[in-house]
Amino acid sequence: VEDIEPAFEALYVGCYDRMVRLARLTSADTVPADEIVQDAFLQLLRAWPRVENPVAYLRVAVLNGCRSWGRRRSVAARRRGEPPPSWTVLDGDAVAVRDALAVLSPRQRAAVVLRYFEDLPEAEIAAILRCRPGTVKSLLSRSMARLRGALDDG
Amino acid sequence: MDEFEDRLRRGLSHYAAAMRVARPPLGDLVSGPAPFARPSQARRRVVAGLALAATAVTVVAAMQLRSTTTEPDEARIDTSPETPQRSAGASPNCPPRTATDGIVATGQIGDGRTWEVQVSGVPPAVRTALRVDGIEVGAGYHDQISWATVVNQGFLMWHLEASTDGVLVSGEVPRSAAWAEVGLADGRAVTLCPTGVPGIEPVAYVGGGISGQVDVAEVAVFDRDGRQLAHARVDQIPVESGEPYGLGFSVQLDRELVPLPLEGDEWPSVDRDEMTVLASGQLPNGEWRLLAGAEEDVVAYTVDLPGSAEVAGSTGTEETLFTGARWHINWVDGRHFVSGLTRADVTTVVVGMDDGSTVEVQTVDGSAVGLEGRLFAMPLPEGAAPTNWDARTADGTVVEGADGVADAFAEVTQPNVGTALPVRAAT
Repeated sequence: VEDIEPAFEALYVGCYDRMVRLARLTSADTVPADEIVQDAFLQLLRAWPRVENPVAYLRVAVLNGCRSWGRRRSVAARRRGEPPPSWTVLDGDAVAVRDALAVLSPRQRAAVVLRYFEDLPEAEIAAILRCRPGTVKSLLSRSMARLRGALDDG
Repeated sequence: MDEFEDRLRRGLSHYAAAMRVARPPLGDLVSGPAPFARPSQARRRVVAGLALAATAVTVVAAMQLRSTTTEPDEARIDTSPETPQRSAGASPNCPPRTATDGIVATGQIGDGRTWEVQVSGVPPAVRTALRVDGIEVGAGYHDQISWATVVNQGFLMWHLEASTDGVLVSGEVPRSAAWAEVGLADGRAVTLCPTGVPGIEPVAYVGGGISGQVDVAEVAVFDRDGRQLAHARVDQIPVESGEPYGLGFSVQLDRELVPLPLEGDEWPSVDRDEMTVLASGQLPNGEWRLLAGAEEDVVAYTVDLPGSAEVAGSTGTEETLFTGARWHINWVDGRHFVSGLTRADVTTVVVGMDDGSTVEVQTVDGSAVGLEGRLFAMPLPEGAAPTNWDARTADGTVVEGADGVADAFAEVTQPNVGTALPVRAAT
């Protein structure tokens, strides 16, 4: 730990919680968000000298980790005894949003969270999701339509 | 900001704030075991999306490379076509090369395993396959939209496949390119010579294999005057460490140096809202839907699957839709899901299993949405092991079929993994 740059440690302290929340917002509850985020930080640490934008790198690593987990869990032995995330009492909007997110595809969900939770511009979302900005616009448009329906129904 | 967006932001914020997060001390993270006990066996996986052509390209990487005794730090540069020697600042001597058989590069990697990159198809339905010892370990497919992003927008498709044997790299370069360079994280660079494929314009292809554990940092493409025509940083794309991976990424052309055929005209797509639901059904976790639509001369069909980020389908003109891989296999709710496009005279699609049983589905007419063909979609029974797949007319005549059915289905056994098979006319 002594060899780790203070800048990395500061980033870890400052961004860890938000990255876990990003992972949980973009994924199903069964995804082990903490482990994915820890793995992302380890990836970042290994790549630290050459990474220009550590936060952007982390976002991509976290989202890739969530996606990989989705693939992995169907073929690997399921992790047993995974404790569910602990929640405090959610207000009405939070409950509605949580339930509404479930109607979105993983890609739509990621686009919505990156736009409305991380407040990223469409160009940056496109870079993270590796698609064209126009595709992000379309993803968001369709996602919002589905969310409106789900929230209105709720 | 409209009221709904405000409500969404507020809800997300409250939802996130309610999550309890326990951050471990950094020391525990760094000194402790790897959070994931990564399986050591090779696995099949889907490349995490091609860069700017992601929506239109299906990339399936079937990593089947066995472990070798290659020392991790012993990186041996091994490329083919042969790597020209060159001194700093000098152009390598890459002779003009054309591959009539589509094999644009070949060589050896690891402890003598043979690899090759083969390009096939007719634009826009161009397919690039990477093979090791004859086994396909990765492939990229173009369709109308993704090809348009190459030729109209200059986003070249490149592909990395890594394993304990080393790294295979392949990519598109403009026909005016003289060579490409793959820069490694340790500062070395591998030079690759382009090879053209008859009938596939305006790009040529490069491929190379690098033995041992290496990190690719960047790729660049140059013309004969040494001007950099295209470039991409690869080390800014996180990959999963410690396991085989495949990575698709785009390399942006400098459009000042390489004129593009259509100067940025993006191929129109079909707005999803304009599509019509032609068939639907219920799976344990939700509804699946087959949709199709047309806009001007572009036709699209797609299948929505519950809980899946991957959708089957294709977009193109009448002609190109029929030249590409058009029978799709996906995995949803613990079973295979098949869908696709057939000739207009097909009424039934039949999937035969290894136990001799068959499952069939009636096709639906696509002409109502401007598609001169018929479409089908259906889930297969759980545990089904298909071995053949064909399409039949009303009198039972088999008029279309697919090859490699058993292998293709065997590759698709988890959510968010899909593949598509080309269709041949029955003889």
